[in-house]
Amino acid sequence: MLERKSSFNPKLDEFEMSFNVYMDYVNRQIKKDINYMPHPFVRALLIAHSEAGNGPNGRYLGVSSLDDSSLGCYSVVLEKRGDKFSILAIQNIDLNLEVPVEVGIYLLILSMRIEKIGGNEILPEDAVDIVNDNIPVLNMILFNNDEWIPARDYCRDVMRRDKRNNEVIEKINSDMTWRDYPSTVRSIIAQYWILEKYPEMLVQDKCNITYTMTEHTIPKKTFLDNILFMLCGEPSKYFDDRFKWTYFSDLVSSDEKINGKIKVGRNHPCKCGSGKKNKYCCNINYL
Amino acid sequence: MDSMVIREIEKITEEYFTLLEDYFGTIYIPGLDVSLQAFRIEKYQLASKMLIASIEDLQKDLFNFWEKHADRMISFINNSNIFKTTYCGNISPLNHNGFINRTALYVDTILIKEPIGYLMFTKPISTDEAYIYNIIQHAFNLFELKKLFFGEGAIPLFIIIPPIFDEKGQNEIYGIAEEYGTQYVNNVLESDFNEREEIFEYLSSINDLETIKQLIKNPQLIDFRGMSVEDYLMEVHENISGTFQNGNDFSIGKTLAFKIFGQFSNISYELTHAIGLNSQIIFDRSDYWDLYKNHFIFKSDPDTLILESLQQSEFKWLINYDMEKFNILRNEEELVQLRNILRKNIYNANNALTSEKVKYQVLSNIEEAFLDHTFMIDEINSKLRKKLSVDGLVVTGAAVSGLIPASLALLPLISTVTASYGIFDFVHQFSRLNKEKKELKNGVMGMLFDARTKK
Repeated sequence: MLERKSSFNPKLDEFEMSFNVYMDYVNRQIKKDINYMPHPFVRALLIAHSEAGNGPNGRYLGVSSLDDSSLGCYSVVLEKRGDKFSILAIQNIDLNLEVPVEVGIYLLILSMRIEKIGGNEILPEDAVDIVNDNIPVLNMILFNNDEWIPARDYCRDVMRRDKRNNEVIEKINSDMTWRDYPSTVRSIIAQYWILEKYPEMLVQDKCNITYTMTEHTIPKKTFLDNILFMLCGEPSKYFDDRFKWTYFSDLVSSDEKINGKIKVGRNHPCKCGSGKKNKYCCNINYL
Repeated sequence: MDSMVIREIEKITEEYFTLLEDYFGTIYIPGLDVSLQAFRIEKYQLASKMLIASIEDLQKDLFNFWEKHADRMISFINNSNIFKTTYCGNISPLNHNGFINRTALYVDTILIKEPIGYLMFTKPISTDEAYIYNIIQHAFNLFELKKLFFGEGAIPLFIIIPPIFDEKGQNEIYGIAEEYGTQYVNNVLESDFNEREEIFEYLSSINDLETIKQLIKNPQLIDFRGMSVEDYLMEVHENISGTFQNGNDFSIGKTLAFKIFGQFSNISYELTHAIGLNSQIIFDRSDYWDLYKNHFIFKSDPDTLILESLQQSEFKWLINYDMEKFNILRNEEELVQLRNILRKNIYNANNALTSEKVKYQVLSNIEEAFLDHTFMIDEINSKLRKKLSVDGLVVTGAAVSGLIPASLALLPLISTVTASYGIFDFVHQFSRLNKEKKELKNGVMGMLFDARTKK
């Protein structure tokens, strides 16, 4: 269904292969359960493809159904040229995030894995295992909630000693329970604690993430959204050296003209000459 | 083998391939080397992860498949009076060095344990890369060989058989491997270990090449495949430590122990199958042949020695014949005939048979068969030449005489009829001789003859 563009691109080849494997998986699940629903971005893609079908060349938008968003709501922009189709963009609508090629594959793998766990919720321990087994760039460490008091005290002492992050220190109130702390404060406390007490759990060359959870289980959608946010949301720009993502728009040649305009990839140098990547600078799609 | 039974076996096989194609069909590229395809997929880390996640259900599906079909398949095979061999060597028969071509000449069928379910048992201890590489290589290899699982009316060349699931069977295999493997290690190292654990404990503590080399007192018992001892040990170490998840911690001694017991486990597994199914055992690797002949209880059986001799370099030309064409041509009668040719003058009187003797006899038998084949073709050619010169003249003469004017009453009519009959008879016989010649050339012997003369 997906066709290579002008010359061989290993990223695209890998995505196509992964996508075909996923579609085989979907077909097998449908044989067992006629009501089986694939991942919402795949549904969006199928909708766009179906629209494009016998239609003229051009771009088509597919959006996964808003009333069946158990794993979120996605849109896909597909371009048709003759009998060839190319994905131009995949977007998570809830988080307003564009999904890179590699992260798209991760989402499909994670969705296959969490499907094996029944229900709409997942245990934090299972969630962390699934991420660490399947996303090589991440190392998730689950914070042990039983250690929150010594962790809190340690973090407060370090911050007072270093005389920084006064806002955070103010929030660490001795009357508050672990559950009452804002999630950002819990994350900071957990990180300080892991760095101090469990440095052997950190893995070099990976993005080490300390995961804190106060609930016994987490909704699957929340889990996947959290992962997506970590991988390509705001924090991800600090891990450019590890998260070397390719966007679908990057796979279009930067000199290629679409409707008379030159396409500019998100990871390409910004045309203003700043030296920064387009996505962190002017973020212009066409010239 | 009854044609109904063949059909039943092929129905089960078709269901098996449908199951595999559901999982791997869309990523398989027909005609492209399967090792290259496996390598390509293994290099794509994300696609490999996707595949591993996707095929998790396959193990359960295969288990259910065999639960449904294992007993029937075993029963069909056991109740058939055919010459069968159980394959042992790689996970599935890769046709390196023409193993399939060489073996197909002598057997009715080759039994292969179902490879993918077998490989899936290794997932907990393998690295992702090794696991995916093996699964893809052997799944795709089966796709390449698919046609040979269907006999076009004859017994299929390959029949897939269920792996040994039950604990009793597994224990039996383990016991055989331990007994013969331990004995072998003691012979190689001139030691006196009692069991496998002792050997592993001892060898795991040694990580120095020179020390291991000194320990090997009888190197002639190991097939180093033309390499130096050091190169062989390093290659074994690299391959095995790269396969296991914690392989980086393995010493050179430990990987050697794994190699030896791996070989013995493999042979024991297939030997158990072969005994259970009343079949010969056949190997596509020289080291396995040596281990089997020299370190298991082995009788110099003519069939086993003939099968081994066909794997030798003297029969390399067998790689040249088209396996798919052979698959269409082969039938029970042809196979019996071929076996008789190869087996001629090979008797196991007083256990005097050796591999060398058998090899040279088989070579001689084939030469004789080729001479007969050439002689038969020459005879037909000679008959054709005569027919053309003698009958051709008669026909032409008759045709001419058929044109004699009607005024001579009956004579022209008779001559026309004679002419017509003559022409018909000529054409018929000429065509029959040509057909005979074509059948000879396009038959199995003709195909082998062409393979032998191909440069």
